[in-house]
Amino acid sequence: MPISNRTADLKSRIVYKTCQGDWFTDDVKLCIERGRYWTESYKETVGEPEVIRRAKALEKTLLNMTLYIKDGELLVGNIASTSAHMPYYPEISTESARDAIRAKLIDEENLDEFNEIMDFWKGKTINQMVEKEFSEEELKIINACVQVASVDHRGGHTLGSPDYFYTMSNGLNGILAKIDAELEKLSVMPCDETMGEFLEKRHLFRAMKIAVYAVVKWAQRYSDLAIEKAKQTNDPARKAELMEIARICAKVPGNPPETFREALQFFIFIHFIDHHIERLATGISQRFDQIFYPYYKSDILDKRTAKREEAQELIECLWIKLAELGHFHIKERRDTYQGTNLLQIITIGGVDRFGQDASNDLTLLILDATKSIRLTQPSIALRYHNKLNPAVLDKAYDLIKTGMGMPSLHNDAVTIPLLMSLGANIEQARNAAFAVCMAPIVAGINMISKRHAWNLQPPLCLELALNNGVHRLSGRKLGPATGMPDSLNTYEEVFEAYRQQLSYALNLGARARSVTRHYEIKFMQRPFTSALFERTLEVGKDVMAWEEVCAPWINTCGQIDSADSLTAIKKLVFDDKKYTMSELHAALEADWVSHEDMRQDFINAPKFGNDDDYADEVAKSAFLVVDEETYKCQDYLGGHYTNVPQSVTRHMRYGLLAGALPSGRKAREFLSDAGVSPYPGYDKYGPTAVLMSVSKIDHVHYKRGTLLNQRLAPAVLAGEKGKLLFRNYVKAWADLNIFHVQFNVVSSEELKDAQIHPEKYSDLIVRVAGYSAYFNHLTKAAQDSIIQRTEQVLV
Amino acid sequence: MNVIITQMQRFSVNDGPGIRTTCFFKGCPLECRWCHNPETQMPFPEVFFKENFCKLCEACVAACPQQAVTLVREHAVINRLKCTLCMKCVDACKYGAIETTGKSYTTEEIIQYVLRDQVFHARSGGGMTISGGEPYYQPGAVAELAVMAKERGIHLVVDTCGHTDWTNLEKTASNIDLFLYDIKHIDEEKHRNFTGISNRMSLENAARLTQIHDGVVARVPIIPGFNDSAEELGEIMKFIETCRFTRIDLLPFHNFATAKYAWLNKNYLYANQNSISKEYAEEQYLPMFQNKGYEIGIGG
Repeated sequence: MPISNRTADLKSRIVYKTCQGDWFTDDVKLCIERGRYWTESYKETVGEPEVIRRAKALEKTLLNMTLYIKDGELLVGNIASTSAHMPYYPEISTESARDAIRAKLIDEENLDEFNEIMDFWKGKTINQMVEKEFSEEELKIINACVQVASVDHRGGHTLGSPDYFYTMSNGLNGILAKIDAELEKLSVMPCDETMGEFLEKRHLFRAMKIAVYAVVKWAQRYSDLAIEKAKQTNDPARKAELMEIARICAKVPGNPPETFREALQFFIFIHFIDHHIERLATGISQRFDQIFYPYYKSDILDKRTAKREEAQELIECLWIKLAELGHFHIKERRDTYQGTNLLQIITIGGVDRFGQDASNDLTLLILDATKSIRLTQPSIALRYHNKLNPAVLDKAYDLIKTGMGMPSLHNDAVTIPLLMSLGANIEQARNAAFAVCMAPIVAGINMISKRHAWNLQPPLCLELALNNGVHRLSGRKLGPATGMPDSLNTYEEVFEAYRQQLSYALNLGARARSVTRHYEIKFMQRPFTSALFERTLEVGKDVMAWEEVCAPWINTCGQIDSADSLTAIKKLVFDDKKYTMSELHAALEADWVSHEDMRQDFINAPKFGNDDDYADEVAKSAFLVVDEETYKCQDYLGGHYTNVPQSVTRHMRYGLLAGALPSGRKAREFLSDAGVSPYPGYDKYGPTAVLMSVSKIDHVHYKRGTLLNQRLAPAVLAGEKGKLLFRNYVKAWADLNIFHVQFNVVSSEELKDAQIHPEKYSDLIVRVAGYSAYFNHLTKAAQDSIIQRTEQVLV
Repeated sequence: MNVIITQMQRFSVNDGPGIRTTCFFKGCPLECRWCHNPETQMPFPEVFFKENFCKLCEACVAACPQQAVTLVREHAVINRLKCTLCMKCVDACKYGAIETTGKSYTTEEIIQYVLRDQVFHARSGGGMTISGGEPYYQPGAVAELAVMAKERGIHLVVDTCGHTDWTNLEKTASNIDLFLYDIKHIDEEKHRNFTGISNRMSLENAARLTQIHDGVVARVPIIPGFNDSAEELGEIMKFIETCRFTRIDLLPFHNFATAKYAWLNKNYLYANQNSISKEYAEEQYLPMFQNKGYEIGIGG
């Protein structure tokens, strides 16, 4: 139960932006305002440096957009004109606007204006600029999104992890003073080869100044609005609350926050701009129990000016604000973000810079608030390590037991060396947070502002390798001609064909990505976000253009399907010689129809997840080849790509596109639903055998993480015995150096009942991928996929 | 040494402390009417027939040299009297409808399999459990596994009804960390009626074992119509108090085994008996064992 009537009421009025199938669960619309003011500003600033145009467009938007304060709110902020609206980014592509118009998800009176805006951006969107760089044939494959999906030129998605310690300790006014000081230094023009650099720096700093000042003024508008609303209300209690809102919004983010509530409000103002209005970004990428702890400690533990319950109510209020955020994604993302919209992951726990337990009372409070408010967003990632306060793990157990799938557990023993292998020093590595579901980053440094992940589907690459580059279900040629199956005479040749298909897809995806970034650096600067890092003043470049190399990554969906398929081919075709490649080809072409006996043999071949060394060895090599080919691809700065085995909900979308596989899977069925979890139903020896199989993969090697789902029957975790079992299970999991694990603790009976009686289960939350979702917000197919996960019961 | 078992159960959490790997020995001198593991009674491999997996492909019918498998009104049927357990039908079936239960392994293979989960055992204070069936139906294997477990630092639990020659228990006791010892009934006649044999050897061994071993848990199955009256359970408690048991576990009857009886084409006398819920057991049976100085658990 929410801690107060206020948060219960605010929760009941959330308009979710959840993607369900192709569309959204609630009645939502695309808001014209950001598109309108952005475009108006661009018309006025023709000829000015691009970075300044971006800052002025942001300024115009912030000074003109509709603001609202909902009844009962203590923390305020909004990104579109009403809570049912989502912002529009005309500079990226026209795709989402066209989709919204077609589906009538706009305010009708704005139709003409939407068309005018799209006309203005014709030829100027990132999408159009990128597409011009590719041949027609390549473009077909890029836009088909079958074996590879590198679509940020269409969807314009990024990440960010501002330095909140710097930003909160200085306040935006303090940062403005620092920018002024730097501009002062730039008052004398050089007369040498540094001129280009000088001008770039001066343009950026001027742009930052415009953007930062605009945000302070935007916050002041909330203060004015609160006063206005206070005048109108007759309720003295609400009047006082509104006046407090007015006071806080006049103070932050211009000035450093001093109380816990001010700090949270400060965060909303910064986050809503850098992740939503300036640019579309997802993730949270922050350690909440670290950045807010000084304020919490001062108010609640030291000065005792506020009670713990009040702090919990504020956390709940913040979670409600985050739960309501969302974007009008393009179709590929709507399909793959089933049951959510943004991957907002809050990181807690872990160690401090000296390697000691960093958890504190706020860590516990965050878990309490997450349990009481019971929302799907934000999701909580707990950094586990062997010095973690046992009370934190027990609270995590309490929350996991409710079936919400939170928190997910991330293993510091893997995370920290993993970040160091990317070049972080030990202190930085200990300050890890999770960018989205999985990828660990160093919090508060500019590691991810300029990059985001894209997606590869290895089972579809395998399909192309087994069909001479032709996509089975569409008959289209999407990959190089690597030979028909009957020309592949050894397992090594099959494997080599697979490697070539992977290589082709990865190379194309990486190039699409790099070209996108090239144009983003030129046309999609983030002057406000740039101001949130002190080092920008030294580097003199927009955050999108810093040349420091970090690890860009690729999400790989369905690696286990590839592994199980390769295992079956190796065993039945080449080791046992029970079938030929031609027979296999015929069976796959026929989608196993009339080959049922043969299919049973392929199903009964060794499978990953059973601690079976034969299957696990092939799986290791299958993981490795993807990783090797990934590493060969470099981004535009020379950074090597790494892969993150995780499916999110792509296993459904891409399952629909995949023909029959040698694992025994039929065409159009789901692919495996995580990164390193066994295919549902193929693991037969319980959770310890699964963990043993998973532990044979070197998780440090996968520099951006690996996703493992475990579904436990509620009875396993019941009672004191269940609690003890959970603690020990987690310790063993950590000993095995597995990067991540997350749990679904809902019985199959309950889930099936929820499909029949959705009305009885409006609050039923389940773990989908790196996030949780309301069960009712998922399509039937997605619900089935979760029920299908092997439930680990006790015998 | 070879040992015949039905299953190695990983992540077993009800057969002793922590996370365990339980090895189910096949073969038992008793034939309890309520038996929860009917496939462990006979000391040789048997055939499970799982009708719901059957696709009526008739591969088994063709494979059977005895014509013991036939199709009757769209159902495959195994005539168990004709069946010689040659297992040709098992090889023929691709759908997992016909399976062998019971396979022979060396003690070394068993230990190696147990060691696969040693990280979980170590973290949870778990280990290996030998259950069954009756482990001491294959006394040499228990003795050998117990020595091997001791050598490799594996915590060992043995789940027994105690119906074995005393020397078997005496010889192995020092290598076994914990015994789970069934006390089913005190009345000899009733015990014979429901399990097929006398309880004398079992009760005598219980008294002797608790004298020489400090970790013997009394396990009392609560079986409707057999021992669930206040008087009968009272007698059991009285007996327990004459020995040196360290703890009492009550195991309320459940009917999960119904499917397994069907797979063996065996008649299950308890098929229609409802399971006893934990809540009911707490209310109804727990008080009879309380306040006697024992730690008591329900469900193991």
